[in-house]
Amino acid sequence: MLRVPATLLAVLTLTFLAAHLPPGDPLDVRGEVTPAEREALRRHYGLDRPLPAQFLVWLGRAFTLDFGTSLVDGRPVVRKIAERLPGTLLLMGTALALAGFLALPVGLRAARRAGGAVDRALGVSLLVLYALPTFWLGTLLLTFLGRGGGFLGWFPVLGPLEGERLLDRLHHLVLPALCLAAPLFAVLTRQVRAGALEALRAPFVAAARGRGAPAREVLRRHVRPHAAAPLVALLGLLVPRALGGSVVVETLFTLPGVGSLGFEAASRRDLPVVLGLTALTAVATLIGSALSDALLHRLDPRSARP
Amino acid sequence: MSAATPGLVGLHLLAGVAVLAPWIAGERPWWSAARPRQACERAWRALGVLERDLASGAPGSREAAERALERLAALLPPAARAEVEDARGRLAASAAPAGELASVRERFPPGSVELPVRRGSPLVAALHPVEAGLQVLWCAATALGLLRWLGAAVGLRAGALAVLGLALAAGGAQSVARGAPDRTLWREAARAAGPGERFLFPPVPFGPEETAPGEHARPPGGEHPLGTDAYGRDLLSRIAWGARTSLTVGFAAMALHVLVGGLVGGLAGTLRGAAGATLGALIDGMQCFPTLFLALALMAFVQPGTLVVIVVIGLTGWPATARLVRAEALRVGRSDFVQAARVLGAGPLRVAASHVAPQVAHQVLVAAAFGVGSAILYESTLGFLGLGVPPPEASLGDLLRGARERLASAWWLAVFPGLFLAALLLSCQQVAEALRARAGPRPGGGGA
Repeated sequence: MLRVPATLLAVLTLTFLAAHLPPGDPLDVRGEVTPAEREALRRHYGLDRPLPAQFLVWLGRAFTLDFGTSLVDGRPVVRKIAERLPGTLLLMGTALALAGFLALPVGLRAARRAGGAVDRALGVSLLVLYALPTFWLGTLLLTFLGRGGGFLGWFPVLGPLEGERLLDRLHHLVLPALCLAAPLFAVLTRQVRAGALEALRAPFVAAARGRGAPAREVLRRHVRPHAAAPLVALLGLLVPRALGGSVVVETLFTLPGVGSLGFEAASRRDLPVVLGLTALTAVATLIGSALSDALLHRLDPRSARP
Repeated sequence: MSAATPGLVGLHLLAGVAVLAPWIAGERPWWSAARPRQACERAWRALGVLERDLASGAPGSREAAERALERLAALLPPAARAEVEDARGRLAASAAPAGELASVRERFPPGSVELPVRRGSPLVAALHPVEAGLQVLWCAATALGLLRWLGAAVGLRAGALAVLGLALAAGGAQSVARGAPDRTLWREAARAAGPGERFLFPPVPFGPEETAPGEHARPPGGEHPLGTDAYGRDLLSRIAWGARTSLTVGFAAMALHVLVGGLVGGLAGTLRGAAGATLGALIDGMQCFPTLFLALALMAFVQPGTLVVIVVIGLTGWPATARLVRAEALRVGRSDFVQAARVLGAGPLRVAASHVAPQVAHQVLVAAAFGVGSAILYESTLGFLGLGVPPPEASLGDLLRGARERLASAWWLAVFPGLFLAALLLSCQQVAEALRARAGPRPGGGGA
């Protein structure tokens, strides 16, 4: 299991390089400063040292989750991220759960009569759903379903406020979660359909049919578990996609979250926040895929074999 | 019919909008028969400036004055032209050249003579040769495709390559389309048209950056088929020209990530030992980054520009290609025919070039097809977040950003550019999936 630590090191190195190699001076964010002040700032942030030294220091701190302080408001990066995390977790969790729970029945339905009218119609709609740009879907939802859009106005447009009741919060979550879930749902449904088709052709299904098990029973007990297991692995792989989507969705719906934090930091050129966030999201992705792999191996021991 | 046909046709048509953008929407007429009043006035005013230069004896002003007189003469009716030509002839030897110019200026102030009508196509005259070539190619491909379709036999290979190449070229067209040579305000010329003057404008006679005063946020219909935005710019025109930006960035970024991804993936799949492992870790590490986060992080530290967007998307998108290529190279590297080649004494370079590479090529094609769609998507997403191609250049993402600020009052700003973008992405995706299906089913190809 050398793979995970090696990838982790690669992730951290890449994050550092991504922020330090491009031209441009992060201190430009401070506006008018005298050269002397600029030098002092450089020393304060350690920007005057050679790159490898900066990297080692940064790496050492990264392992203790110390990503320095924000250039914009001077607060610790970890704290800024931590306070935004619940919002993103809630949004992503809702979207992933929504996509996963819907994908299973829909994918099975498509596979039951593969090539039929329902299957083909679903195939086309899934392709469309997959290809729709998230930000456009969100804009449309806001225009036609959101309040202030001038049409139906069923859902609030701005993010939830402090101290609102649970029901209100859920009400606020409907549109963003739908928006984030759409492409994930398309990916997962296709996976379920492919898995179910594979199972339907497998000898164990033929054997079950041969025993005289009713079709419904075969689908429920033999096909469904086979189609559902890979979803677990896929959920892990979808984490980076969902995180990327959260940038758009949170910015669009003005939700406080990690994604909108990333966007704000990037537009204000807040180097430490961007660095910390990039490293943490990548590590989260890594952990997510390692966990889902481990879970899959438990659920389906065959997958552990190469 | 092949599986990829619907997507290819869609891509071809949408690329057509980009290639033919100046014919669909723009302020330059397809054809005009006009009296060149504006050019004449400019030439006349230039004489005034040169007169002062001549009087002060600025170096090279005599040659400049000769050229200016030549330009003016070309616009005038024959009798007047002869007079101006005479003045030009006297200029070289004249002791008081400024006086010669002044006499010409007094003799022919703007509007003093009826200018002869000039016929021609201002649009064609302004086209860059490369751009014009692409437009001809696109039309030829369309005709060919239609003929084939009528013959009920669409051969994918040649057609697919032609369309993909063409869409790529559509991107190239964008970069040369700027810097128009003549500065006539055609709409004004048409408004002041006298007898014998005719103008044939494109269906939408508005340029993408042209603001119509008093036409802010007009709903679709009338002069503006898809409405106007908050600044009074025609939406259809902006979509057609914005498609150029999106396709340029999409195809150029794809080329970059296929290049980098193919190289790194191929090396990671063929090299043994530490080098291969390091490259493998690099690919795995890159895969962990949510692409959009990485692109945001990079965009935060550079000055925005079209080229920068291409490089950033190319540099963040390559791991997907690299992973595909690496897996394929590893698989092929273990196969019997590669083992056999090794046993026969072929070196690693030869094995890679003549045995592994051809096997991996179709995976690269599949990756490229997916790459175009994702690059277009990322470009528009960055544009939507306000970190993409800088304004005023139209890009589909930037158009949708403008829409977001006017959700309540102007639904058309969100709907039409989005429809175009979605159709573009859908076509790319459909082609890519058809290509992947043809390349053979791969384990774990769930559509992600």
